[in-house]
Amino acid sequence: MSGPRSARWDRLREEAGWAALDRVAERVESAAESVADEVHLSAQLEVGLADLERTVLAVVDRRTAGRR
Amino acid sequence: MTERVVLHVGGPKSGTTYLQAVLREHAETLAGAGVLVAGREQVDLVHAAMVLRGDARLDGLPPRAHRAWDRLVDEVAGWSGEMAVVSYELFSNLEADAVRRALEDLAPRRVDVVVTARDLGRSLSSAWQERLKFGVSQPLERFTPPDDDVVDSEWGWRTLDPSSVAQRWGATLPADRVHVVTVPRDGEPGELWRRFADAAGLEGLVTDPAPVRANESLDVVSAEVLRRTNPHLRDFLRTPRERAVWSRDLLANRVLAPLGQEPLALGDAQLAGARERYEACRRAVVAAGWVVHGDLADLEPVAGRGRSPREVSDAEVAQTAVRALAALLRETRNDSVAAAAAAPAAAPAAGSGSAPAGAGAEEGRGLRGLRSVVTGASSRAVAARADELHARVDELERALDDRRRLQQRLAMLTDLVGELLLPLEEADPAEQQRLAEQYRRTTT
Repeated sequence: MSGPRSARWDRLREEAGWAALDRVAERVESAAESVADEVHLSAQLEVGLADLERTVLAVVDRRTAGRR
Repeated sequence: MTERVVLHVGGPKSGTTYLQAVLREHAETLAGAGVLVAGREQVDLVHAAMVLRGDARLDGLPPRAHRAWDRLVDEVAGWSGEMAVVSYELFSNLEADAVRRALEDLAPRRVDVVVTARDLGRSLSSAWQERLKFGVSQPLERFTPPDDDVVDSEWGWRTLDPSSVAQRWGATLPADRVHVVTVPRDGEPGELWRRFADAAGLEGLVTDPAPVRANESLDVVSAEVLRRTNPHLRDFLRTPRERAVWSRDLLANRVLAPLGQEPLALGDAQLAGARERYEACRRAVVAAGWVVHGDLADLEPVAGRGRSPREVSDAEVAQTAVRALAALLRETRNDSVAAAAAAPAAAPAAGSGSAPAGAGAEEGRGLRGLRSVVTGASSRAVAARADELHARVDELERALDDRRRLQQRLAMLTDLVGELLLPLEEADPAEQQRLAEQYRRTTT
């Protein structure tokens, strides 16, 4: 394929590419909102986890020291 | 400039999913006629209603969610056409103060409120079904919808009885701006759309509403199967979100709903209670002078075909459970095949050992699927944009990886706590120390 027909084909491909990308971009940003929710919840979880972690490891250390 | 806003405020299970699908499907046509279908995504409307309710669950959501109602108002205000339609069924349970704020924010535009409703007996059994999908195992005959004054009830008379909704939403509006649309008893969706269009002032704008409806109602045997299954799900479906994804969307809607069609019948006492409610509702609608589109008799509970779930035999439960097992396997296989096709080279999405694979894993699969679409783009400029999207997807995947690592940490700590909680005579100090060391190595 060459000449005007090829140019038209390229243009059509490009338009199709942009349309597909717009759809993808919309989905990516929609997914990004869900990810932001998850990240926010994870940050809260991490705070609680750090407290729990300190307590649990202290218990293990005390038991280990008690056995020596 | 928007001069008129139609607020379709519910209630739930009154054809709202269908009406919203028609609105979205024909949004472009409606926009051409000057009508905005407001709310970019369904989740924006969910958050907008949470903002108006002052819902405590907002605290756990990102700042964007807190601005959802303001964004909706801005969208309506910024529309260049004459009219906007906002449709979300759980605006129906707002209290009077929240309703006042919503109407004030939309002023000075004319606001018409549309309330859709169906046979109140069927509403009652639908409300019970929705509770089943969220893990309740109370038998139908013992279920009574919460009364109007239970403000956080999404499945009570407060949202199911149109007179209750209209009283709160119509308190400061002239009666001719409050519309009650009844769902036709024969279930013909085109007629429901025509009634809604009549109430909203959209007559003739959508000539072919093209009903696309997923049947999400359970038949009597499937409902009983789910009711008996629920106690076995509680150990691992702990949050409302997990129950929505796995119990409601997968088990109830995708697996069980297609397995049968025999309707549920209410017991005599429930039917009598629903009829009493209908009579009071009819009197209130007539007395208030709200505009009825359809026939109020559509709301009257009638003793119809079908059985009560307690009449379902063990043999029927077993038979449907076997079919459900096969359907569940089919759905799981189809999901796996689709995920593999979307990400042939990617590692399987992994949740941590003890945490259920939740939204994070699903987003991960979805994002990997997007890569194959992006790769098909042509031309240099398009390719550059595709690269940007690649980078954005990678960034999101990294955020999800952090979340997975955190869940893994939580799982390891849970194992360690489990070991510490063993009675002293059963505890293995070496194992405790090993788990503690392994945990320390992972987190440093």
